Amino acid sequence: MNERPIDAHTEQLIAALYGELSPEEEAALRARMDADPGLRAEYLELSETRAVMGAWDVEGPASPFALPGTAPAGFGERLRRAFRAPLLTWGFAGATLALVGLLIAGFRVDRVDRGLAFRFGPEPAAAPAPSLVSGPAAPSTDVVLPQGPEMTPVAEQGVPVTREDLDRYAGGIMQAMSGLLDNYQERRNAELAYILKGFYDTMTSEQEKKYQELRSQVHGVGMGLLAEQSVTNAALKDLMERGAPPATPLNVYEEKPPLNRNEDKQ
Amino acid sequence: MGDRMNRLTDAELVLLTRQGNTQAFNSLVERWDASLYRFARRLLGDPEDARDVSQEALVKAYLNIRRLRDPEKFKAWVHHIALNLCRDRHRSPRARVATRPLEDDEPAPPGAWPAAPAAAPDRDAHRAGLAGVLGEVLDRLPAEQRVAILLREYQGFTSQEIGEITGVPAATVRTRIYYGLKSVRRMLQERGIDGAGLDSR
Repeated sequence: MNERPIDAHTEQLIAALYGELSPEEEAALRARMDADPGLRAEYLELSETRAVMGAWDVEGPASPFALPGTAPAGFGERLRRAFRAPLLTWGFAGATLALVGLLIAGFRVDRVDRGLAFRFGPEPAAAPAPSLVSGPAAPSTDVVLPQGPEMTPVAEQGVPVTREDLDRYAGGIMQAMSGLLDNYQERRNAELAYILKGFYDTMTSEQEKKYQELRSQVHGVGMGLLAEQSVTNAALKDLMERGAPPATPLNVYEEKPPLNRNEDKQ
Repeated sequence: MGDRMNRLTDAELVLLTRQGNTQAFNSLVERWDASLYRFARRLLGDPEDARDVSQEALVKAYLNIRRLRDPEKFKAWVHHIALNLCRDRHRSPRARVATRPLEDDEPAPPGAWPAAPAAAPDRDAHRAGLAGVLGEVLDRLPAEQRVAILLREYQGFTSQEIGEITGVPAATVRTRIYYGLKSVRRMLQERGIDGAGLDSR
């Protein structure tokens, strides 16, 4: 851009336009504008242009920006994150929900003579007196499981299981699930530690290999030097035994005659 | 937490960010995101490009926050980053087709502006509105004048700060603003808009 620099007065006009003058400078500029109608007219023109430019409004961004992972997540994002949770977490949540649902539905476990009976609904009242009128027996909806060694009785023989027993049962399940989660975490930590150890071992092994290579190279160089030294020693010994050869004068050289260019031409 | 952060100055938030407090940087983002977006939008025109530029500028600022020598000048610094990103976008073939390049330092001669069709200025000004006309007029300014006016008029930077952003003395910034305002006035008058924003014809 090769616009001409503006003079000091015009520069002050621009500074005054945006309130960048000190009170003293502003007073001085006002005095100059009073004396110079052209300067005043220019100031008014620039002010009017600025006033028009205020009409250009631009809307802000539609959505705020935040560093990834630091903004408060909306419902959708939280749901997506939940779907990325480990399967074990989902299993734990599902089991808890199922247990709560069963308890709300009135699930209970009764001891019967052949094992445990899982029942829904309120506890039946005392058994009615046997009717004299015999009729068809209603089909039983109870699920009767044979009592195996894994079925730990939660109440005394013949006494129905109470809500407290179930709460204890639920507490046990919660503890077991919590233990599973802890184990999962520990396993992950152990896996990470194993990976890091493997990485460390690889690094150490590489380092050791390079060290050995370097050592071998240094050793080779050292052996070479020793061999050289041995040869030199042998030569020196031989020299000392046989005596020194006649010295060659270093500063003597055969001086060649200068080229005769005329002879070459002839 | 957010309220406490909002009471801190830019410099304090920068120092906290350097200590690893991302919430502090989010407060800086909250403070300057819209300003950066509007600046880029006025320079580039396209809202998507402006969003990209403002976000990229903030991410670059975060990644390079330790290189900011004077934390008090975060606002000027991040706008400087945004300006450079806008220039980069104008270098791309797609952007060159859309608007005039920001690197073009030669003032466009008046004859080079596309001549408006006969009797069109009044109709265009009334139809597109004053804001649209202003956007078009500012887009026709030489790049450095346009940048100086946008930073001064709409972003509220002082001439000194604009000088730091664009790398020129404050006096040069005022010169650019002066010639830019004169050109804007002339182009507005050519479109039948006078100082009061009314049709003068």
